[in-house]
Amino acid sequence: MRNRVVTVTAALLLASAIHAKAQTKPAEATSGNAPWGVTGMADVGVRVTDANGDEARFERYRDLRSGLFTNCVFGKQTDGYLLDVTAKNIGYRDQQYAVDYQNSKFRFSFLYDSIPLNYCYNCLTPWREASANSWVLDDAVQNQVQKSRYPAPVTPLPPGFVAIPTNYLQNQLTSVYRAQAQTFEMQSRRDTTGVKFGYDMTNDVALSVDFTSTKKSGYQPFGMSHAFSNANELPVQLDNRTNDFGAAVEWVRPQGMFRAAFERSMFSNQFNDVLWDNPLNLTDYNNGLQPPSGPYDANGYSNGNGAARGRISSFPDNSMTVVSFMGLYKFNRTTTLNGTVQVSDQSNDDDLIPWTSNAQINQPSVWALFPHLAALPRPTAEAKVRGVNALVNFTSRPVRWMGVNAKYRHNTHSNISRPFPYDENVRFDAVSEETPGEFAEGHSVIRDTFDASVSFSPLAYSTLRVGYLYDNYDRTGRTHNDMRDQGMRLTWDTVGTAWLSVRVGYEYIDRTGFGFSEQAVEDAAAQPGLRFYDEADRERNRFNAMVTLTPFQTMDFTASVTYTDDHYGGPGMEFGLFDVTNTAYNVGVNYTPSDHVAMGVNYGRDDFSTYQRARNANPPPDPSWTDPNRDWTLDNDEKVNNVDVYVDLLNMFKNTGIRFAYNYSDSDNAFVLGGPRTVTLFNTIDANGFRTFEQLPDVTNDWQQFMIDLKYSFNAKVGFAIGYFYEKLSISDFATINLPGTDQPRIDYLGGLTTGYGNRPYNGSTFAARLLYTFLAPVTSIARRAGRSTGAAGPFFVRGTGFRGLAESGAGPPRI
Amino acid sequence: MLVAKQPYLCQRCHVTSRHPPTIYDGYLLKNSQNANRIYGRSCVVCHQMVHGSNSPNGKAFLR
Repeated sequence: MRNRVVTVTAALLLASAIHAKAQTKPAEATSGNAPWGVTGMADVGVRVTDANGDEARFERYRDLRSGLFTNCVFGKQTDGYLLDVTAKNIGYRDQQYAVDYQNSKFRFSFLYDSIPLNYCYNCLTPWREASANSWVLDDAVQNQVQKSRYPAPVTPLPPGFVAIPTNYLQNQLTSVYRAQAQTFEMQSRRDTTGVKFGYDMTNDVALSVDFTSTKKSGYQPFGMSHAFSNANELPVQLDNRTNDFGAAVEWVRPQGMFRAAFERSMFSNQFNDVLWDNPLNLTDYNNGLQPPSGPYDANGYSNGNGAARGRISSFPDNSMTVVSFMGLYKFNRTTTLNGTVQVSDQSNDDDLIPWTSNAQINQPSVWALFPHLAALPRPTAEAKVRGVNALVNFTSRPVRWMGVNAKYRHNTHSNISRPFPYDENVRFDAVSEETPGEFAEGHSVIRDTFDASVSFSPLAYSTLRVGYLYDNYDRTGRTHNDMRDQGMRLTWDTVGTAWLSVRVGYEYIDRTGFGFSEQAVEDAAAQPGLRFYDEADRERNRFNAMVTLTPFQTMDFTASVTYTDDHYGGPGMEFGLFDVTNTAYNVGVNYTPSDHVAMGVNYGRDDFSTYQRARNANPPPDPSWTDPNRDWTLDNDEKVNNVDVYVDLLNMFKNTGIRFAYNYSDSDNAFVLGGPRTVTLFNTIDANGFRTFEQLPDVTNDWQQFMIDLKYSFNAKVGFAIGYFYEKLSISDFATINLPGTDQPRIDYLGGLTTGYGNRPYNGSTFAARLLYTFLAPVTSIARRAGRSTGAAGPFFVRGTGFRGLAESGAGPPRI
Repeated sequence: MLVAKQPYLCQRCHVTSRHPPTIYDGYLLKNSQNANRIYGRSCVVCHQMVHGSNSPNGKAFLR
């Protein structure tokens, strides 16, 4: 009973990784061969990695540097306690250590987990980090650029050079900042340290306390801009931490349970803002005039005549407190009621950054015209949200052939922050402007969801379910005040027979928006016929089917298909997203002719298709605003193929295990623009003789991975292993800009100075030779495909060990 | 939403005047400063004032 109740608890609450680990690990320890004893494996060796191209993408979430390979799992089980200790990738950026201990009264878990995120090893930037997150350019080059722009008489840049190219001819030149750029490795890392204690005060009452601290450090690419023509990307430094504390008391009886919990989450960021130099200005732009004609340039947001240094805000410090209560009552063997109530408080009171970093705007002569810019309305965010969540589940099976399940969920997200007025504003630290009556206010949501289903079992092994869904949103700040989903679903499951499994389902959901305000759309300067797809009227049709056939004990076939179509509409809808269709097919076969051989192959095909419409127009009263000849459309179609093949040979040759796997994925993502506006542009020739419309090339990629792992056991305890995996990505993406004829980043492309971060091809391989020491007694039978992940295959295939896990921890097939 | 590519993801909603409903095609990518809304970080290279600010502002393209 206790285990079953704990399972329900885990399903109802969002458990952290360490919680989940603490709950599952003791069960693993009990699955060994001997009821008591030592289990596990030490897998230690040497690794050699070689990679070419975009090496950071090859590694992505892992650290494959040549050196030591470690993957050790140790478990001990006595009649008094269970102990599991894990150490992986010792000394590397993806190292992990875990300890789980449990006796009859006390439970303890510890986890340290480090995960890198490798962006690029060949990015470049002309900015230098003078101090933490204060980025500077070479003053001499900035001055040279500024003198080439103003004041008159200007001094042109040397022939062949430009600051930031803004047209076709300039784009053939080289930026003066290209020579300033230095290559650097951009990577960040998440380090999670957590502990959890559990204590059974009595047979019925348990306490638990946990603390997890997650630090993020390193650098990530970040977009920031001085003007529409002067977009910049820098490697922003990260140094932030989230501390999560939780405490709970749980009372469990055979008839039910009750749990009360307290959680507190705190996020703190060492950086309140980021400062960076303007590539076009050494000093704040000053045309020598008085407001409103100066000293700033009214077009500075577009042409870059703005501040010498820009400033953007970084992620704000914030916190959340949650108090929750959960209960479960079992009326009888077939009827259960459980529920949860959570009350939460979220707060952000971080310092706000000033209106601007531009000294030419931060002065009395400008404040005389823009008095609201003299000071912020308040110095800190003063943002607060109160929340209430409630969930009730009722499950009953009053008769053998019928069951009922009903669920109600309520969520109140009440934003009680005071509105923040901005009657005046500064764009891009370049231009002060009037924005009368504008203010920002937090949005609130009240959501109620009811979901009920009835299941019938008219035939052996088969269940028919009929379900109903009601989901209502009441909210502020959107064009529709209210939105309601109503739907039904029908499923048929035939499972449990020895040779056949069938699952078929159909779902229809109709979404209707209420309280539409065309004024709200027009206030945002949008076309009145626009509907936002997350609140527009929508019809969803979803179908899925899966059949598994097992004609022989040694072979199974699986085929599945899923289809989802979302159609958006509603009165007056002219623009926005109209259709999204996803279709996925999979077929696979597994064959296990003997205890020593297992193999299988799977093929999958995914099709994604969307259709959207927009109008390229100037604001009213310009006639283009209502001109249907300015309409354009986009068909976005992506096709993806996946193939996975594996062969396992375990003890087919004496004391030898061989595993082979090959995975392949390709994608073709098309962006087909259409509509009358594209025709007009296609028929227009520019000054350089080019048609002013051109379809974008498809974004394509082709990813494959090959892995082989061979293990040989000298005796029941000691073995030797060699593993090799190879991974290759070919990719073509119009959003990644390279120097002509190379795969090297170009940082000075049209309208920007970037780090060059993008999607580039790579190939890489890793070889490892390892010594294995196992604590388990040999097991000769091979696991079927479904059992492979449990690691129950034999002495050298212990859970969590081996070379396969290394290959699987990469980025996988990319989605662009 | 996460598998749709910018700027077309943004344009599913931002059908407003001026640059949001611009046709971001191969011509702009090769010939215009507006190319910075197609390559790299696309729209969000400028929209950090919206997406990265700790100001309560946020519903308009402002600080």
